[in-house]
Amino acid sequence: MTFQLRAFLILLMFGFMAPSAFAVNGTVTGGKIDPLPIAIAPFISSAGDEVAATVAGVIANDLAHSGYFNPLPPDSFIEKVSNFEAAPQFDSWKQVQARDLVVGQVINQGGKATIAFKLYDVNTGQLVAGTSFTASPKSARRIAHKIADLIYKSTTGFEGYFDTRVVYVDESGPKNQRIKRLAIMDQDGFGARTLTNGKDILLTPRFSPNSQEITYASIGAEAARVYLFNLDTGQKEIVGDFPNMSFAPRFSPDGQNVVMSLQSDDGRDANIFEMDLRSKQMHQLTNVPAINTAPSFSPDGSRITFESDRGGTQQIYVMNADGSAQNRISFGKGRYSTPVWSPDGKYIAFTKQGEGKFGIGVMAPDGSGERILTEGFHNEGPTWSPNSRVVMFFREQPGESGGPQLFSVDISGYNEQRVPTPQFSSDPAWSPLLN
Amino acid sequence: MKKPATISIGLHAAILFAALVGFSAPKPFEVKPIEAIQVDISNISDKTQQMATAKEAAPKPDKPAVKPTAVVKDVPPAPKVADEVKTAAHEPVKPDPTPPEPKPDPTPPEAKTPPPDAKALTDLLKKTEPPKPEEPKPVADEALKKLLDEQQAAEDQKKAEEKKKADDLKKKAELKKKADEKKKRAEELAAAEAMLLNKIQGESTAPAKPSKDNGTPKLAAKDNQGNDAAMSATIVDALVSKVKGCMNVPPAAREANIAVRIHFLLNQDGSVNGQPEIQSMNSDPIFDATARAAVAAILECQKYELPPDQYELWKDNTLDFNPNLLFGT
Repeated sequence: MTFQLRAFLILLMFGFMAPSAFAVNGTVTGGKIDPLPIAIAPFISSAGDEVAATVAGVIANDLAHSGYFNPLPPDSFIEKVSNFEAAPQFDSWKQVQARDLVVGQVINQGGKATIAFKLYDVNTGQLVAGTSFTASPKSARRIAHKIADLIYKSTTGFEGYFDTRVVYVDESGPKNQRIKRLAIMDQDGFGARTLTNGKDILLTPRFSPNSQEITYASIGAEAARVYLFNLDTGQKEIVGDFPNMSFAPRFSPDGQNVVMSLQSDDGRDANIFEMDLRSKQMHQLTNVPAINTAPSFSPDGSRITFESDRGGTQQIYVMNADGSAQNRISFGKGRYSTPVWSPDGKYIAFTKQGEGKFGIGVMAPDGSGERILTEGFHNEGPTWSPNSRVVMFFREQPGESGGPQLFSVDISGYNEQRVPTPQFSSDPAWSPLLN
Repeated sequence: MKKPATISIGLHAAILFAALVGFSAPKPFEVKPIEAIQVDISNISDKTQQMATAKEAAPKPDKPAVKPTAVVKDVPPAPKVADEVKTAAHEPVKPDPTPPEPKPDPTPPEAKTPPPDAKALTDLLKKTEPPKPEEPKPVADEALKKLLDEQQAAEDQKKAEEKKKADDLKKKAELKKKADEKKKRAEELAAAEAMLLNKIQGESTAPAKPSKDNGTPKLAAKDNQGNDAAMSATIVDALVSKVKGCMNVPPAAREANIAVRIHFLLNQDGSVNGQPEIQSMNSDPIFDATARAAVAAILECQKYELPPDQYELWKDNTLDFNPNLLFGT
């Protein structure tokens, strides 16, 4: 090799290392916001296994109801996945326009079901997520919700909210003699069951942070009382022994305290108190001659939002957790009520009444950025999904035969959907993610 | 005394003769036509329009560098659950089990394309050819006929002189052709060395042959003239616009302040070469979802219809995805 040739090769090497002189550099802002087309292949299982069909169906239903996914019809699939370990034929999934692919299998052995799934990016063939769960076959739906949560998180960037429950007031009977029971169900409406017998009128049920207890107000023969209900034992206990009505309870984020409203002796006012559930000590937070109620903690426990008519009409206020610095934050036209702080701390959801309509809206904790998500004849009682993306509420239907039903809406205001319940239902409260 | 003088005169005469014959007229200074630098920016989407460049530049196809390995488009086998997959544009790609088909050389065979000098010769010969005989016109008188005969004789003489000149040019062309062949062999040798070097480096995208343009600027290499800046901007706009149309923004990225940088290479046919590489890193699930959406957008958008003669401008691309700039927080 001559000297010149060697020199040429060395120069060539440096040429490779140098960046391209003509590289394109650009910035892509925005894009489209279509639901993501996702293929959920039928889960592999032994013949006639209903668990596999259930799991795939629950996953598809969860993702579709979120509004962020478009599960493709299984009858359009070209490849029939029969080997969980083998790589799918991605070209065939591209043909059916899938961007993501879920494959899974169910193995029943020794009375336990092992349910595994894999989430693939069809374009790159990349394995995005994959997990295996082993549990009783009775827990198949919960495992399916957990899988849906993992898929949701991998694709949207948000934490999931499918493996959750909702407590609500189940309503039955004629409109003027409604029987109201405490009820609980999965967030998709499955497995609804009542927890109380319906002798008392039940109001405002709320989950504890560990989802094992529910606090609610109940109007019995004497007066409204706040109760704690243990889901494991089915036992209920009264929170405090007050001479006057207590209502609108809610847990603090650490589950150690309950804030609620207590009626004044003359029955004209109500103020907000906090009770330590272990010591039973009470601490008054507001002391204003007005109706102060519906307290809700910020997720860090440092502040409380509530409604008050101290200014003449119902409006939303925020104060520190010790009751100091009470400031009004709602200044729009109409009356604002039932404020609920979002789990991520960014928003306060509320009910707004005005001009003959009831709307469900959100605003920032300083009162800015008010947005109405939905409005109509009678909407009320918002509650947040644990990921702060969805607001559930109830809507009263007009007419003698009408009644309340549960609905959910994305905080963008899109994707409003009815949440199926066996009977009329009101006052929902969403649980945190289950363990 | 007379004899040496005769010898001296003879030698001087011989030297003078040799000088006159051997040192012929100096080679005329060849003035190469100045290559035009004017660049017409055509609409990217308009496939029918091509860049207008100098006349001698147009017939020279911008010969692409021969790649020693085929572009691997197949997706590698899917990993198992525990595997973590990160793709990179510069990851060494697995060689295709099937030997790559040799790419057809876009340059026409040399036998069919006469070298530039030969072409000039042909043009010259065409020019020296007598004009086609016109339709015979009735001749009116002898004087006119005589005049025509004299003209014909003059033309014949001129033709003979020009033929001689053409023969000289032909000889020159042959000599040049031989020199070109010699040079070509040297270039092939260099290409072989380059391929060897590529194997050592593990690179798959390196050009194997040096340019044959003898330093003449390529079409895409006119950046120094300032015109390619506008062309580059046009290409960026076209690329960004196309990718944006395929970018399905993850819901969380619509509100978060997320920026993802993706590097990817394009083949000459507009397809994506290998896998796009995520260059920025973040443990945020919103970042992961956005990065996945960005890679999907780049892959789903292919093939990109960009001006083939500007390949150098768009073969190596880096895009920043920042969905939040549009949707706001």
